[in-house]
Amino acid sequence: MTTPGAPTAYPFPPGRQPATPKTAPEPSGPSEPPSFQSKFLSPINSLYETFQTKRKALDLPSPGIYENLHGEVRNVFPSVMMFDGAKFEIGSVMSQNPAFQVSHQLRWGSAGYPNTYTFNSIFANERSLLRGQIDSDGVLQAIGHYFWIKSPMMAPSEPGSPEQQQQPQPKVQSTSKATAQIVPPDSQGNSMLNLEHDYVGSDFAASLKLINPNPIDAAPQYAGGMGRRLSGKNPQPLWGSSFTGVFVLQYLQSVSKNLALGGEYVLQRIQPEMEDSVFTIVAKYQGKPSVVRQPPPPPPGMPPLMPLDPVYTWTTTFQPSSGVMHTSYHHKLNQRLELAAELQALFGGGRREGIATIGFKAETMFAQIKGSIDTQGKVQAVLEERLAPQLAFTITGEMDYTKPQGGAGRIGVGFQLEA
Amino acid sequence: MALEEETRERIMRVFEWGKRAFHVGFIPFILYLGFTQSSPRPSLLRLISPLAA
Repeated sequence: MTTPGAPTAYPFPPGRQPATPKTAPEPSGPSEPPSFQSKFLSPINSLYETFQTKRKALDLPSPGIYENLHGEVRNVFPSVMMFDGAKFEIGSVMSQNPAFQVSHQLRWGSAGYPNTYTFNSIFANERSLLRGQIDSDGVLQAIGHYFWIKSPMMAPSEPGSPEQQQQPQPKVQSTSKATAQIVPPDSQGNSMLNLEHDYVGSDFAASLKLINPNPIDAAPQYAGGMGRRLSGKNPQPLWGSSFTGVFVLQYLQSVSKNLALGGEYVLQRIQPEMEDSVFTIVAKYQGKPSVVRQPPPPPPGMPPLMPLDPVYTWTTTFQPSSGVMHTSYHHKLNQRLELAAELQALFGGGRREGIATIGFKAETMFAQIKGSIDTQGKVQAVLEERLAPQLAFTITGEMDYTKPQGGAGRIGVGFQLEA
Repeated sequence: MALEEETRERIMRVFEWGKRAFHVGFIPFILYLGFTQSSPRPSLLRLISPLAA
């Protein structure tokens, strides 16, 4: 990811570059007499500076990116770790810095999921993260991140792995992300491309996403003959964009120490003739960090405690157009026990439906237990036991009591070796 | 702005070709980066088994 101009300056370490700058230094502003523009704009500038100083003085916390909303709750519920059948995974840590890991995963014996082999590789340094995953059907999942502001070494955790390693991140982050899913030409399924840029400021977060952007799709067919060039070989519409895709704009702003507000705007333009947009609003309330309930420090080798994590988080997202509401509540009782509750409800369209889930996550020195139950009668539980630092054993179980004959159950057994 | 149908198809063909190249080349590219940038250079056997030295 080097720019074409970079190699010329490459052999010189920063600060020891040749003393022959190609471009003359630009005249510096302050030495010049104030121009008309600066005189005219100075009240606005000073107002802006006052605003920024006031804003800095408030010392608002970062709200976190929009995608991580409800993330505390998702991390408590076992659903992301659920699988059935058997899973066997071996991973090699090839290098720590830069992080380079590969892993092989086998899954078999599941009723709803075909037997698969997956190869996973990750490469990460402080500027970028690359991750490629290919399975036995030939489907490639590719992820690339570029950190415009250097990030401390991230330990990329597996999607199903329990510990989402939270290392202190810089306060301002600017990350470009690209995600692609590519299926082999002769199989079903769609290839997908997702381009995204996230900017996390000191008290706000914004992201822009383009999903399957295609600037040269077929021209729209609407408006009958109107607006079409009717003469010539290929009649073409004179207006109407042929840019298709799904475009998402997300913004979160902390308005007080506890409260963050924001929204999401989704514009769907999958075909040039169809356009649809959805707006979602969100409020997130976080309780103050607690310094009271601190357990004794863990033995060396254990993940560090996070005394500054908020005690509770309450998040609500609401889509006015469809009437879908999603509320979640996460409470950290102490460093080892977390509780979560979630309500997903639909008001509107003449329907009133809802599903509520409660769950917990408990951690001991060598094990992690998660459980949840929802109002549709589904009970899920996961036990992950660390037999040795590099060896983990997982059992998952699910019981769906709404199914006939007393319910349907699924269990999964997993084994993970990483060295 | 609408492109001529032929141009559009040509661009799509190039894009398809690029997609194929990416599909085949992405994971080898990660492995290449990993092996060249890591120090000390890990042994190839560790690709298969973490127990290899």
